Amino acid sequence: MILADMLKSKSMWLGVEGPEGDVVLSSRIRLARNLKNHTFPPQAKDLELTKVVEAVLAATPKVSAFEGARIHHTKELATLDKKFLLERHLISHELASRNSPSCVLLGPGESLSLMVNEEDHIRLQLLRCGLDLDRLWKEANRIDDDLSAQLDFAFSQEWGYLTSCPTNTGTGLRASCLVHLPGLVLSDEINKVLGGLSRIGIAARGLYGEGTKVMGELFQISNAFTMGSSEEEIVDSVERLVRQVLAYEREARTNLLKGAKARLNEDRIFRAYGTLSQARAIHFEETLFLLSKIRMGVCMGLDLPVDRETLTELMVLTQPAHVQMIKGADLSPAKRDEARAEMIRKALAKAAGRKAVTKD
Amino acid sequence: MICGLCNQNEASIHFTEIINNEVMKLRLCEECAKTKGVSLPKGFGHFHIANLLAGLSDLTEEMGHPQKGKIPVCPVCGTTFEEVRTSGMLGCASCYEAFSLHLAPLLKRIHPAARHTGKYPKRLSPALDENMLRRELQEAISREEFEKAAKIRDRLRTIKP
Repeated sequence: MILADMLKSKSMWLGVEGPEGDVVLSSRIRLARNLKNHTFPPQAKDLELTKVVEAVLAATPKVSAFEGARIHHTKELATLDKKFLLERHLISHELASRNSPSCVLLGPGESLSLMVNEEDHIRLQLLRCGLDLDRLWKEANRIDDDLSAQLDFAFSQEWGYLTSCPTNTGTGLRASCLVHLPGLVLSDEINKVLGGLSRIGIAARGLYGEGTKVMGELFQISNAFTMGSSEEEIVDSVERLVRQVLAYEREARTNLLKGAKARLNEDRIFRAYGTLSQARAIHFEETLFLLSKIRMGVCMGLDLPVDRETLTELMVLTQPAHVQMIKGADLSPAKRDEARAEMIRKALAKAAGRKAVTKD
Repeated sequence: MICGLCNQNEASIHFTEIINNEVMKLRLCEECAKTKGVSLPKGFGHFHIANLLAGLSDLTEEMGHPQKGKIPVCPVCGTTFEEVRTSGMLGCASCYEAFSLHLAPLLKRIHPAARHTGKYPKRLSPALDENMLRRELQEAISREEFEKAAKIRDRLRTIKP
C-alpha cells in the first residue's frame, strides 16, 4: 500500500466546497496529447512505450506545475493502490489495467494528474471542487503550453491534436462536472432533463465515467465532441449547460418539500439518516444511496444533525479501496462493510456533536 | 431492395458515398441501421466507431472505379485500415494522413465539423501557422463565412500584433 500516506493529505474532494457546491461536486478538464514519431499506446510495443515514458519524465521537471509531483509506475502499484487512485478519479480503468510501461504523475494537492501511455501518450487532468471549469481550463492551457515547449505533439492543422481514438481528435479536450441530482431523480424529471443532451453535444454518465452505472444520483456531465469548436467554446457550453441543470435541480429540491408529497419526502430523508447513523454493516452502494438523500436534505435546510462537508467527505472515504486503506488490513467484504458502518457512525456522531455546540 | 446486412428485411435507408470518384452505395433496413449506428452515433467508445467504419466500408458496392485489392496501410506504423476498422483506433499520427480519405467522412459523422478550430501547439513554426491562417482567411471571406473570418483574423493578430 504505497499510497497510504495520501489519506493524510487533503484531496480536492475534502475541505472547502467549491462554487455551487450544493449541486456541483467537482469540475474536471482533461486533455489528450500524443508525441509525434511514436506509435499510439494501444498498438505500441513495450520498448517504444518505455521511450515515451522516458521522454515525458525528462520533460516534466522543466514544467513548473509538476514541481513536487510524485511519479507512480503502473507496474509498481499494488491492486489496492490502483483501486484507490481510481476512486479518487486520478487514474482511469484503462490505465489501471495496463501491463505495459505506463505511469501517472500526481501533483501536490491531487488537483493535477498526468497519465502516460493510457489510451494516448499523455492524458493531462485537472480537478477541483465545485463549478470551476473556466479557471481549470486556463490552468490546463498554460500547462499544455509548457509541455508542448518540451515535447513534440502530434498535430495536424486540419484535424488538430491527433489521438488514438477519433472521438478525441481535435482539441482532445473533455470538460466535465460531477453533479448531484437527487431532486430531479426523486421527482422523476431526470430523463426529461438529461434526455435531450446528446442533441446539443453533451453526454451524461455515472460516477466512475463511461460505461459505469449511476450511483447516489451522481452524474458526470461532459462535452460529447472535441472537434468543430474551440476549447473556450466547449468549456463555455458545458458550463452553461451545467448552470441550467443546476437551476432545475434546485427547483426540484424546493418542490419536493411542497405539496402533497412533502411529508413523505421529508420522512424518507430523515429515515435515511436514521439508518446510516445506526447501521452495523453496510455496502458502499447503499451508503451512497442514503448519503445522497441526507446531503439533499441538508442543502434543503432540513434540521439534520450533520453538515454538507462531512457528507461529501464520507462519499469519498466509504469507497471500498478507501475503507481498506484506512483500516490498513486485508478485509473480507463482510468485515469491510462493518468497518464502513463504524467509520460512518463515528463521523456522524462527531458532526452531530459539533452541530449541537454551535446551536447553543 | 433487400438490406445488405441481414439480407432479409426491405431496405428503407439508402446511403450513397462518393470518395475520390468512387461511388459506394449502402442499403440498410431500419433495424440494421440502428445496430450499425448509421443514422447518428449515439455514444462513443471504440465499438461504435468500429461499427460505423465497418458499416460504411464492407457493406458497400463499389461502382464506377473499383479499387479491389488496394488495402490502405500506414507507411510509418504498418497498421492497415482493416485493423483500424475492427479496433476503432488509429496506430500513429501518420495514420491520419494515410487514411485521410476514409477518415474524413467518419470524423464528419462523429463531430459537428471535421475541422479543428481550437488552439495550436506552441512549438508549431510561426511562419507556417501564419501562412496557413492567411489562406484560411481568404477562403472564409470568399465563402462569405464572415464570423469564421473574424475569428481567424483575431488569431492572426495574436501571432503578429
